[in-house]
Amino acid sequence: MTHAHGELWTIKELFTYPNEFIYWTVHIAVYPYLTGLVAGAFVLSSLYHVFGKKELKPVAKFSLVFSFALLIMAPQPLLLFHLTQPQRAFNVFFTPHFYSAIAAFGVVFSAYMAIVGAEIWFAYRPFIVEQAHGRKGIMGLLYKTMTLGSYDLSDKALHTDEKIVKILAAIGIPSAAFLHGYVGFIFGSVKTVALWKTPLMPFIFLMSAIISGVALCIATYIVGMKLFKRTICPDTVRSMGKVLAGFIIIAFILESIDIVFHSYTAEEFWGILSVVLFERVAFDMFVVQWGLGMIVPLIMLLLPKVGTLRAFIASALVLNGVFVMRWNVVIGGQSMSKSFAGFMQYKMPIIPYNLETLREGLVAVIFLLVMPFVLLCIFNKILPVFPKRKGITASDIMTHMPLTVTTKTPVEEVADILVSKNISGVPVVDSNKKVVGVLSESDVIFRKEADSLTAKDIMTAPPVTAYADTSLAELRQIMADKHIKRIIITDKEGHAAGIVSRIDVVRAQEMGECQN
Amino acid sequence: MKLTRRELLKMGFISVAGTVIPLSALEILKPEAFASLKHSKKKRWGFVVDATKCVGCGMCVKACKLENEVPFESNVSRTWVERYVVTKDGDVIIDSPKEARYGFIKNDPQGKKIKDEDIVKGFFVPKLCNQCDKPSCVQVCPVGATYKTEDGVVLVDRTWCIGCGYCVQNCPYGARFFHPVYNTAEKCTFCYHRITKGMKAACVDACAFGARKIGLINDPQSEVHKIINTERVAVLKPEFGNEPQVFYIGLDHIVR
Repeated sequence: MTHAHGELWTIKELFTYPNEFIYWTVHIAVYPYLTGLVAGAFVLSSLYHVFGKKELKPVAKFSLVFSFALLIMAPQPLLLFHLTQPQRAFNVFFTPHFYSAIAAFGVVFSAYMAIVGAEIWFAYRPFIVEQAHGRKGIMGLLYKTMTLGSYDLSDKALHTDEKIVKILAAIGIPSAAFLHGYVGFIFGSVKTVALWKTPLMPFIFLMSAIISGVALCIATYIVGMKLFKRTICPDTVRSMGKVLAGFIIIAFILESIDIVFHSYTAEEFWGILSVVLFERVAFDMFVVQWGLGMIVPLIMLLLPKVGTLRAFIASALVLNGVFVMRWNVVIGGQSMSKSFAGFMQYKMPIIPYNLETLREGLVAVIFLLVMPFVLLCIFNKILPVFPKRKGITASDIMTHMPLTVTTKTPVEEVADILVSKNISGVPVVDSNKKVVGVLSESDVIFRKEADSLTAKDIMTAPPVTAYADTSLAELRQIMADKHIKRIIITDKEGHAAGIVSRIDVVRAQEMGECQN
Repeated sequence: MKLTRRELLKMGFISVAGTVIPLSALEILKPEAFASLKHSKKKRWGFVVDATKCVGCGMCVKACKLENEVPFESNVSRTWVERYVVTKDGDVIIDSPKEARYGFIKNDPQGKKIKDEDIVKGFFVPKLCNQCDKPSCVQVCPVGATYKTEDGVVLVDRTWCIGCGYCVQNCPYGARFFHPVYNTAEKCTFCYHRITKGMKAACVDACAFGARKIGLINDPQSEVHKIINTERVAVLKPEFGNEPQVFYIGLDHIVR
């Protein structure tokens, strides 16, 4: 006998239409789960790149690369396992039917991939160029290819890189939101499934996406740093925890409004929907998804002194909760018959006994959920995501591209700059842009009274300078020996690259490697 | 090279025309236009089910599965018959065992034994694709593998369907499923291969009681036209806005 697609894992109860089965199985839960993680990880990295949340710097590159690894796997549940004709997947590009909510999938997905890929390239360009110069053999060739012929590492070029990363990250936020809101729309616009059909669906999906992505980054960061025996930065963990807590609140409000609204309006399907919610998925939904997946982690993260362990447990609970939420939406939604007079139960195939149960069963799910980590490990070999244990140098702590004045700048103007920019010292450069001196508040205050003085007349010269690779210890030594408050950092040609003040040194000592 | 404005306009015109003319061929080759090219002159196929005449013999289901090569023993079907039983207690029991391909032979709705005197109302409802005027299944197909012909029948191109199942989810009537052999979306076609050759749909021919009628809705001579325009008919789930084109006589409010 030929069995119908879906028959092997569907148990029918009471009256369902003959052709009804659970057609969208576990992969349709895994798919939004993975896209959600992509969106969340990307938003986290953007909080540093766009909004300059400094304590997130140690995870900015990591979450960006992780987001890319997840992005590669996100469509695979559909392409590899869900479609009954996977070899025709590209028909979507040949004859897209744009009235369909899923026709734009390829376009949206590719566009987002291009943005994330480009951002990674710009963020890692200095590293790639360094490796291309330094490494030989296959890896050398790989890095040379990855430079795309761009070897310019001048300060100007690096500055441009930084700017582009910021712009891409900024474009990426709405794109990530769109990518996942779009996934929510795919469900929310199915008018035949009462549990899915709500205009809130894109937002519900987006918020749960962000919390799952941030939670995954917290958990993976903690495990990764432990694995590589590096220092976990408490400020970073705490900051990610705060982001997570904030989004949990929004996610919870949206999800509960949806249920309250359904219950209050009590349309004709509410009878059967309430049976699904309060009896059939009640434990999964109210205990695992809301209780353990949102309320408990929220309390854990809001209580003071969030430590590594607590953050890890809270994140793991959130990850579990969001997965169960995806499951409840996809499977729970289909479990009520369109006849409103029966139910369907889904039994995921555990041990495969034919091609269909292999494709749509546990084996495929494990593959899908493990692969992002495998990809992350491979990427980590090429583009290291966890900050290296290395000595702090001037370039890590200096203020980049400081303001400068020229030798000919009038003293009054210098005083203006110091006051208006709220800084205590400024490098003085000559007509060749070489640093020839430094001007501090005290130079301005205790100057000789005379007319038409310029910066040259009152500056301290020659200035104390150091290079960007000077270590923190050396910088401290110089400050102590020469009794000075700031050191000008120059490049090899003597042009100003940055400035290190005492407060920078103090902060570096305080935060250790987490400054990186 | 120097270009005058006249030359530029000329070249622009040629390239636009050169693009538009081949593109317009695509319009002609659209499957929905192509499939009904020979048969349609503003025709619209419709169906009437007189539920009061259905006895639940299941011959329509049998005929359909054999005619349309949906494996007979598979638990999916392009058409099926539902049984509704209302008891004294007000319980509504609905079933359609094996899509009714063997008919209803026992008084055992959902396998329950119910005494005759406890039944206050009981009837059969044949179901099939409603060939909606605004088919949500066609709307959601990402590759355009399913389409509505100009004479109003929704078809599936088995060679182009990717098998995402979005159309199956979006049919309010449960009319769609995956073909057990071809593994692509499958549905009732009103026996398009028969009706376009002047024959009737297989289920219509198989019904000994005249419960199923097919014809052109806008042809004043057709029986379906007469019934729809002179009798009180209803459609299933109008609230979805699909504008179904299968009209029922004797539909009850408990029918879903």
